[in-house]
Amino acid sequence: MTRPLRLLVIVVPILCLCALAACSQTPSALPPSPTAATTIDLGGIKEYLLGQTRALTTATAELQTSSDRYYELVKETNFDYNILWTTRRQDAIAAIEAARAAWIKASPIYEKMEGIVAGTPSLSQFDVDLDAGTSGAEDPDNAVSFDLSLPDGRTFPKPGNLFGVTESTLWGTEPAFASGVAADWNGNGAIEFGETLPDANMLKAGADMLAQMANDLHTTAEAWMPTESDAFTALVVMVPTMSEYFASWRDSRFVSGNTSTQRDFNVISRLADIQDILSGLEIVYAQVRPRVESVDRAQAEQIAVGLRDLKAFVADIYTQEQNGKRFTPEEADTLGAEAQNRATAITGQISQVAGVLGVKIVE
Amino acid sequence: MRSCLSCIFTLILALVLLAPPVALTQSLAPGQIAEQIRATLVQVQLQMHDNPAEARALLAGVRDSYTSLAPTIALYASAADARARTGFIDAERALIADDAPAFAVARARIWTALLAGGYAVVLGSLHNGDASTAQQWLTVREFRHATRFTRPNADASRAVYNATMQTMPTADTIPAVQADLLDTYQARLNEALQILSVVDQQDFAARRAEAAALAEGYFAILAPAYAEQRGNAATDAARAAFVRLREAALAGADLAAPLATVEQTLRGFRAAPLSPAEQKRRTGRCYASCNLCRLSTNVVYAMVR
Repeated sequence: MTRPLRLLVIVVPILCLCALAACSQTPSALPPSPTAATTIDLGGIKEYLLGQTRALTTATAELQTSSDRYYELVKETNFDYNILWTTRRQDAIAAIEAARAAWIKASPIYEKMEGIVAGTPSLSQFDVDLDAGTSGAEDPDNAVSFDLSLPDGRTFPKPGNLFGVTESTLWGTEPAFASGVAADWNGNGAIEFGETLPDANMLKAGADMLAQMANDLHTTAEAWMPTESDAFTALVVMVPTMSEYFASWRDSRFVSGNTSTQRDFNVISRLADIQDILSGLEIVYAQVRPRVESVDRAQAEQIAVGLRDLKAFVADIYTQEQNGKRFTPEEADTLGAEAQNRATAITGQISQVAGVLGVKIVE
Repeated sequence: MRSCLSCIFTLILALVLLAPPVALTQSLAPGQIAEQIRATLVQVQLQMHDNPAEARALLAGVRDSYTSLAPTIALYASAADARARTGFIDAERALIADDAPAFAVARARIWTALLAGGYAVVLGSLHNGDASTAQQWLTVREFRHATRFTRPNADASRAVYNATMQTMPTADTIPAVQADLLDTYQARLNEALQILSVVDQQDFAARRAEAAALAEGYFAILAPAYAEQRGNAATDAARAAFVRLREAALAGADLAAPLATVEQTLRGFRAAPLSPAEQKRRTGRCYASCNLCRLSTNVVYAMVR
């Protein structure tokens, strides 16, 4: 074979492959038709949810046990917190720290399923009462549904969501939930963040109700049969809540430091919560993705990439925060706006596909 | 032998010509490229002070990415292409000067130019009967922010999808696309003005500059509809009002007067008439609210009695 011919034998197939590859990247003139025949199995969503609800019942039971231990200690001193602090200081600190550890374990478990719980109409009241609802005094329209009855007979009407109530009781960010006795844990002469003796009645009532509600959520989740509408609604309702989470991050101690007056979200950075929420929503999207692909494969990929990138964007900020960077309120605001823009773009696309598929998004 | 070589060369030429040139250089959809540009520009702004070298590299990258969108945008909307190119030049200048508010303005200008370009490509393609291109470029868009009570509608997507499925004449999709997108951008314009007021109170310099530039950019998309309804002279005056607002925001000046002028300019303006589907949706929502009010009144009345 002559040299030019040999060259052509090598070059021609390569060019053919290039051309074919290029052609394959060109969108087809007609997209696939979304048909009812494209069935999806949403069992994965329920399985994921039940995994989280089970873990939550265990973690909140641990919180309940530790809170009971603290309550018994305080009861032994006849609810005299001065005596408690003078005579049983180390026992009290140990019980509070155990309760805090249980809370820190329980909270992220809930965040991992919050996207599903809050975004599903039949489950969303649990989110209001567990993690999102305000107190009646703060905002009656978005307040929790319950009043908190304490063992000593007091009642706190609509005190705010249960994770918030227990967090602010354990770390002392709500004076009304504290004993009122100054407790300088490290003895440095200053009362710093977290140096508190909680009101044992409030802690017990909050922990008991949290454990009860975790059990109720598990029972309800067991009976729940997710529908396509549930899944799309959860995505459309929960993905665009980024600005809300970033605003509570901006106003928390993680950004505002000691000037923060925010009661909740001071122990675990909201940036960690957002990642957990997005993880749950990725599970939901993975389940409905075949339906999205039946409309537009490129858009299905774009949505998946958008969710992944949004999570990576938040993870990067969180890593910087963990490494010691303190963001200014304006930086936090810019980052929140960017997260919201990304989330809105993703939500818009999901809504478009739901519209084409005729899937009802519950309003 | 010669005829054999000639055949092979003809085959090569045919294959090269058959392969779409865009596909060889661009594997991402236009929407993905646009989103990448937008998101990277935010990263540049966040890094420009602490890591200028990295910021410069990122900016060069997105400028390069824009070249894959530019030919199509220039074909359908040369003014939008020009705005994007000016935006990149301004962004580079702001980066060199370490001027975050100026960079935020450039960023908003590039992004809204991309949105204007995407809108023009979709409409132009539909006018040409090319529903497939319209569907690809419909992803270069923004959506209304979803709230607990409202969701972005899917009118444009449904219409273009139906056109690609050949169940609707391509020309019939144009009103739905116009209504959806113009309505969205008018909502985003109003939102940008609200954000401007909030961040101005907080004295967030870059956010203030960005919000004003976004408002100006959204108005550029709505301007043809504004001109149709109010004439060219009024449109020029409106454009000038947005320029003054952006300049005041960038300079950190008092925004009360320029903002009031812009708001006055927009009073009573609606870029797109509501589509029949949207009219029905909003009537339903209004009806539900009325029922809720009536129910609340009855409950209160019963309690008082």
